[in-house]
Amino acid sequence: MDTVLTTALSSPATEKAEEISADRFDEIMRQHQRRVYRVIFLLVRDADTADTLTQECFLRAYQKRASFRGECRIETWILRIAVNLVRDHGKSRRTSFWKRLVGLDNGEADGAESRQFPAPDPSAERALLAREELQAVWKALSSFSPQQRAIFFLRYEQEMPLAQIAELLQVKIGSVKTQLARATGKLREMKEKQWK
Amino acid sequence: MEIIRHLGNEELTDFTIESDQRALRSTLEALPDWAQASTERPEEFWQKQRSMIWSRISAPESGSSTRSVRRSPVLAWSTVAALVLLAGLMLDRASVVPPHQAQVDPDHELLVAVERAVHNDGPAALDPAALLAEEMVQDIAAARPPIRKKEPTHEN
Repeated sequence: MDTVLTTALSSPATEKAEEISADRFDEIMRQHQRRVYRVIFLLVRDADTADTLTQECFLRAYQKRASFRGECRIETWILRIAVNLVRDHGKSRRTSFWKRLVGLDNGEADGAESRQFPAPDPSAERALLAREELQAVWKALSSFSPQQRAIFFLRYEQEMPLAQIAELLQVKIGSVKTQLARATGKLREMKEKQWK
Repeated sequence: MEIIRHLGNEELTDFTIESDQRALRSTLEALPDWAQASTERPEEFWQKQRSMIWSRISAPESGSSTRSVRRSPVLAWSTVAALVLLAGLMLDRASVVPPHQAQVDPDHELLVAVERAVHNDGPAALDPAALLAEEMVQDIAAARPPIRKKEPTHEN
């Protein structure tokens, strides 16, 4: 029953809903936990939020595991849940202003643009430098939609093929290319300004 | 330039992406490492995260209780609003109710005035007139409908 899931992206790790037991789910979680966390972190730029949304992602995946038909890879399905959660989180953050105004919300955090990457651990110099580089990339992409940012990071950070990104986001591959071209164009423009 | 003119939209997009990728090569190649370094966590973090997920899976009702706690300010505001509305309606209704008006019967008032005049001490020469007045009062009282008879007089 508990077969080992092959490495992400290397094989069509498809399985049917009835095969996902609790033990199997724990195995899937161990395998994709870091990856899901990393994608969410890159999109929300907040360690605590990334942690919360990663938990929520696996919770939803477990609850909806019966709806997984094995039509795509399991990691594609889980990352789809993660990206949708980030999108919903963005929407709720926009409405939080009104909630704060009437005192119904404690005020989670400021806007993403004003956020800084928190130091995750006793900060290593490498991590600090990496975060600074990521800040520059994020700044270049800040005017884009969450979906465009997701496409960029899925392509260049996760090194995901365009077809899989289209499958994950349930959009046409042409749309993925167009949005990717905009993102890379903007980043290139910003980099060229820095070099001048 | 000549090449670009003959490219279709999708091919042009591919060409643009490839060009950008070449220009951003160092950045794009380093991106996975930067992300990896930025999200490095000790093993305890991942263990704790998994245990949190399992605890949430095994106790779904805790999520609903958290939601109910979050909703409590909404509930409080709703209750206050409802109470204010109710109080407003009650005040409005109270102001609309017309005040009870005492019914004044002019005949009855006249009768009372005559009785007072009759029972007051007056000159003896007016005794026949007083007697006459008393008879008139009795006649009027007898002629009045029964409801009016039930009404209390000021003398009583």
